[in-house]
Order: sequence, then structure tokens, then C-alpha cells
Amino acid sequence: MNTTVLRPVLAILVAVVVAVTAGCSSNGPTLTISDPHVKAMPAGEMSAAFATLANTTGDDIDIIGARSEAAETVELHEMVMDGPAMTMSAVEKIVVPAGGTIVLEPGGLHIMLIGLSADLEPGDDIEITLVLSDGEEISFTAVVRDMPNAQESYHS
Amino acid sequence: MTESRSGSARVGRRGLLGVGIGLGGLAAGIGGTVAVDRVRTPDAPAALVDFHGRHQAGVETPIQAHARYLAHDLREGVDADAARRMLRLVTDDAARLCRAEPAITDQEPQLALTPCRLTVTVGFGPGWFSALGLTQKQPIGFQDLPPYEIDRLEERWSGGDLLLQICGDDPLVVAHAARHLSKTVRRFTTPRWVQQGFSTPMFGPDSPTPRNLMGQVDGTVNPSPGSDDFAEVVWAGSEAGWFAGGTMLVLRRIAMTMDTWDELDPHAQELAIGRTIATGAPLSGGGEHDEPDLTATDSSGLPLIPQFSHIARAASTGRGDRFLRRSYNYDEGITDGVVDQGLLFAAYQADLTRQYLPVQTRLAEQDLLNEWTVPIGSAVFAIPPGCAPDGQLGEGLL
Amino acid sequence: MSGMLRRTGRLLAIVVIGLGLVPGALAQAHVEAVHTSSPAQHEVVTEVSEITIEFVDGIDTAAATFTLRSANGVDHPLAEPEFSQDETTVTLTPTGLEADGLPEGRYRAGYQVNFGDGHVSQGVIEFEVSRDGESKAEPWPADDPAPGRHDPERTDVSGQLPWLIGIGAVVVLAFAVVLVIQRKRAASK
Repeated sequence: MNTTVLRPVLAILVAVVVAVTAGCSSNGPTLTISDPHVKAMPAGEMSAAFATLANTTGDDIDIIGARSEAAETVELHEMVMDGPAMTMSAVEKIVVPAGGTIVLEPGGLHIMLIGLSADLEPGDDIEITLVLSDGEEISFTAVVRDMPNAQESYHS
Repeated sequence: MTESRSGSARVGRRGLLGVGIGLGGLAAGIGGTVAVDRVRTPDAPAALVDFHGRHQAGVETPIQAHARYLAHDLREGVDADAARRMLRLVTDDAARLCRAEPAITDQEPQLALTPCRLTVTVGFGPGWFSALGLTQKQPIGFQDLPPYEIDRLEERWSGGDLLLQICGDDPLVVAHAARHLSKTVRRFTTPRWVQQGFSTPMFGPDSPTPRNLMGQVDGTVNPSPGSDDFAEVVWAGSEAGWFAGGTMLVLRRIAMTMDTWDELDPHAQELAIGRTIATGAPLSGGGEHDEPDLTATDSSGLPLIPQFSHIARAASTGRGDRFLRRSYNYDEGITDGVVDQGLLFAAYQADLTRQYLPVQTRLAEQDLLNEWTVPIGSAVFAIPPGCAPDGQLGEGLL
Repeated sequence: MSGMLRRTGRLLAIVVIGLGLVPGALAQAHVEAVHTSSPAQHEVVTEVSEITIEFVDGIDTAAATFTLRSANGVDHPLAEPEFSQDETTVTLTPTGLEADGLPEGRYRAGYQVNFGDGHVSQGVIEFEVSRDGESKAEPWPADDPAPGRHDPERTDVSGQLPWLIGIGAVVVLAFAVVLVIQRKRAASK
């Protein structure tokens, strides 16, 4: 069997595994995480993670926290206009509305990584776990990217 | 939102494999949930060229209207692991851009959205292998060209460790892809040169052979895309190990001295080339795609195709010295008061030592066209094989 | 200096080819590359064992082709051409000749050369070998100015001449008719 035949088969197997391990909610997929990425920064500094979150269920999903081995502290943040200036503040939760999508992006909602334990080099991966209000945890792998525009960490 | 552009949520191969990419690897996503997005609809425009496959796109792809070649040098301290990380990002960016989707961290995402047969082709110069301690894995037959007497090479158009060849029919999309990919490799490399070219696009085997700025058809003798002949001439075979499915690019910037070329009457131009300008037919008769008969003579015994014409000198001797020509024209306007036009001559072959060097040596020795063509840049790149949607360029090497 | 000469040569070529549109200049359009030759063009000679062609300028000796063909289409093998120091003159020596040189008959010595500028010039020197010096063949055909290869549609206008003359005649005739008609109308008013 050559690899070109093997790959789709593998992919289907993986899909099944993902669906099964998604498991806490027996209804199957709940939150889709696309294009997760995190800003490249040196150890000890701050960074931010971004992604597109899609809620495929009929109920709102509340993300109440996050953690990662890549940083001492992980917080949910958003950038807001405070008079003429953009400032960053922690938020208690991020709500992904039923059937809706939110984008974590520079200048908006994001996951703040404070006190990086190692250099985040472009092309590396870090794992981040989201904690939902019902206790479910969703882990995903974010790719480290150079992000000239994601200056969140400098404004804290 | 890009989701609005996606088609039906059919669980297709692309969508599933997209999971691996989106989550940064097949092992990712455990405990998470994943859905499918960006499945191409069945009637998706033909203006998309699949980035993935056994071979990289942009070689067998019928030539698009615009090209940018970007050469970079590896920064000091970049090792094989860093190179692998870079290629991972380049692969992801390129795959997205070629689907007419913005890359991750794309700062002008709107410029990515026009399907225009965008292709991104990555290549490695000799310096890539030496800097990364990979000379053992350098493909057999891959080497810098020797110096030729006709060469007037300028550093600013020559060499390079990493090549990004970006082609497409919309110059804005091409420029955007080039800019974004430049940023992606910036941490690992320094820019060396950028060359831009244009061509009358081809859309398939029935498209007329494009012409260069001298008016000649260029690429008549090319192997035909999709054929066994093409595969044999262009793609490295299984004996090449990790490089199987790759190809080698010789990119030469050939300045054309258009003002003196203009002094020739059309027939003298044709004698220098060996073909009629109007139809591209060899002077020995027939149509453009008929084999030139280098032995044909006129009533006085003189060769119909002069022995020192371009096609007589470039003609294959039947010993495997053939390659794919996929050249672009360049026009930089007026430089130092002189028309600055020419050809980004691009030759692709499985083994440049075996296939390319004999031809270049013959042409350098004697070719009437040398009078009006001056090589001012030269670079060679090993174009690694393509990758599957869950893979990345440079697999097997890094 | 030679560069200037070349340029002049090129200019000359352009002028000559331009003149090629004038019927009278047709015959010269293809021989501008040659200064003199021995035998000369259309010369009848009693004996020839080598042919010398002096070009108007130094040629690229590495990229030159010479042929010798008799009227019955037989190619005569030539020894390696010998060039003068200044590369303006070539001596062609047919091999395997009898003591008295080429047999009687008509010959065409063909050349395909360039002056180191990539510009190919080609043509023939036609001559006849006759032991008694009397031509034994038909007169040289006047309408065969350039046996060298060329695109009949393009550079050899001679094939189109009857047409050109025909069209010219028609135009002149039409003009005359119009004139006559106008005069008649004017007269009848």
C-alpha cells in the first residue's frame, strides 16, 4: 500500500479518535479551534495566542480559563479602547455564542501568556488548554509565528 | 471571515487533513473537538493549482502571467532544526495562499482572495546544504554552474541559499504572497535578490507558446506536461532517495541588447535563431512543433538552419541533454540610459550536470544569439519534491 | 576601428536590403558580404583548384560554413577552410581533384558567415570551368539572384515583382480613367 492511499485512511482514523476523545459532551464536537497560533517571544517575556473558535452546539460555550506549560500564567484578555488609547485588560470569560464564531486576534480578544518558560521560536508548537464553565477542558496546539502586529504584550 | 467562503461542510479529504494542519499536527487536538471548514466546492474555479502533491507546483503548471523569484541566504546560526521550522511555516503559508486563502498572520488578507493559479515553489541553493551540514544529502548532479566566457554575472542577481518562486496570473496576488512569505522567512534568512518577470500565460497544451521580448517563441521543444517524457526529463527518479520527485532549477538572468538586435532585418534575426519569427517553425520547414532538420540544405548546399544558430547549438544531441524551459521576460525600463530588458531563463531538469551543462557549454562556445544576449545573473536551486497535506516541504532532508 | 567598420557594414547591409525593394538593386542585395572573389562572380575560368573569397570585413572563423556544389547538384568535399591573418579572406580547397583542378562545368561556392556580430550573411559565388575559356552553358539566369536560403515571402521580393508591377499598373490605369472621366464631365458642363 503506498502512502497516498494510506493518508486518507489515516486521516479518517484520526478524525474518529478526535471525535471520541472529544467525549465529555456526548453530543460530539462542541468547539472548533482553527488556525491557532502564538506570537514568537523570548523566554521570560509575554506572548499572546490567537485562533478562531466556532461553537457547533445550540448552547453558548463559556471559556473561563486557560493554562499552558509554556508560561507561568495564562489569562484571557481583550484589548479595548480606553479614551484615545488601546489598553489591555483581563476578562473573566470568553463567550462563544451558540452556533457562532469568535476570533481571537491582535487588537481584540486573545489568550495572554505571561512569563514564558522558554523562547518561543517561529515554527515551534506549544500546547494550550482551555477550561470551559462546565469543567470540560479542550487542548490544542498553537504554532509559533512572528507577528509584527501583535504588540499586546508591550502594553501591559 | 474566511468561513463564509467555504463550501458545503462535506467531510472531504482536504477538510479532515486540514485538521492536522490547523492544530499543528496529527497528535494535536486530543480532548478538543474539530469541525471541517474550507472544503472546496465541486465547481471551485480552475484558477486554483493544488499546492500539494508528489511534485511541487509551479514547474509542470502551464506558465502563469507573473512571476517573482526571491532568493534568501540563511542567517548565521540557523541549523537544520530551525530550517525545518521555517519550512513548516512556509509550507502552511503557501498551501493557504494557493487556495486563495489568507495565510495565518496575513496582514493584508484581502489580497489573498483572488484565485489566480498562484503557485509557490521552494528551492535550495548549494549554500543551503553546506550551511546546514547536509552536503552528504545534496542531490547527485546538483552543483553550481562553472564560469562561462560569455558570463557577465552580477552578484545582485546570482546565488542564494533559499528560493521562493511565486507565480500567478494576478500581479497583486503574487506581490502579496511574496511579501507575506518574505516575512515568514525573515527570522531565518536575509534577502539576497528579487527578480520579477512576466509572460503571456498558458492555460494548457493548446495555448500558443509564449514569446520573449525578441519576438521569438520560447519553449517550443518542451516536454509536454503530464507525459512520461516530461516526468523523465524533469523529475528526479526513485534512485534520488529523498529527492525523488524533485527537480533542479537553473535560473539565469539574460540581458537582451535590444537596440542592436533591432538593427537586424527580420531574416537575419531568423538566421541567428534558426526559426521563423512569425510562426516559430524551424527554417528547415514545417510548423512550429516539427523537428528542426539540421541537415537540410538549400540549392547551394548551405544549411537551411545555420550551424551556429541558437536552435542548432541548443538542439539535443539525443544523449539526455534536454530540459524544461519555463522562462519569464523582464523589463526594468531604462537603466543607465539603456533599455533594460531580458529573460529570466529558467531550466528545470532531473539532473543539471547530465542534462543542462552540455547544452550550456555548447551555447557558451558558439551561439549567434550570444551577440545580443548577456548572462548577468545565475543561480541554481534543488527543488525538493512536493508534500502531502499533512506533510511539509523538505521532508526526508531535514 | 573594426567595430566601426562592422557598424558601417551593418548600416550598409540595411541600406542595401532597403534598396532591395528597388528591382534594379535586387541582384546586389545578397552579395554585400563579399568584396572580391576568385573566381569572380559569374566568371568563366579555364582551371580552378581553389576558391578564394575576400569578405568586406573580418568574419567569425569559428562560425562559418562553406560549400561547393556543381550544377548537377554534386557536393564537392572541401578541406578545412584556410583564413587570412585578418580573417577577411578564406581559401577553399576542394579535395580529391585531378591535376587540372575542378572538372568542366558550373559551380556554386556557398558561404554562410557572420562578421563577429551574429549577423549571418550568406550567398554564393557562381562560376564556370571551361578549358577553352568559352562558356558552354546557358547565360546565368538573371532572376536567380540569391540561391542562398531565404524566406521567399519576406526577403526575396523578386517573386512578388510581377504582382507589384501588376498592382502598380492597375492603380495607374484607374487613376487615368478617373482623370479622363472628370475631364469629360467638366467639359460637358
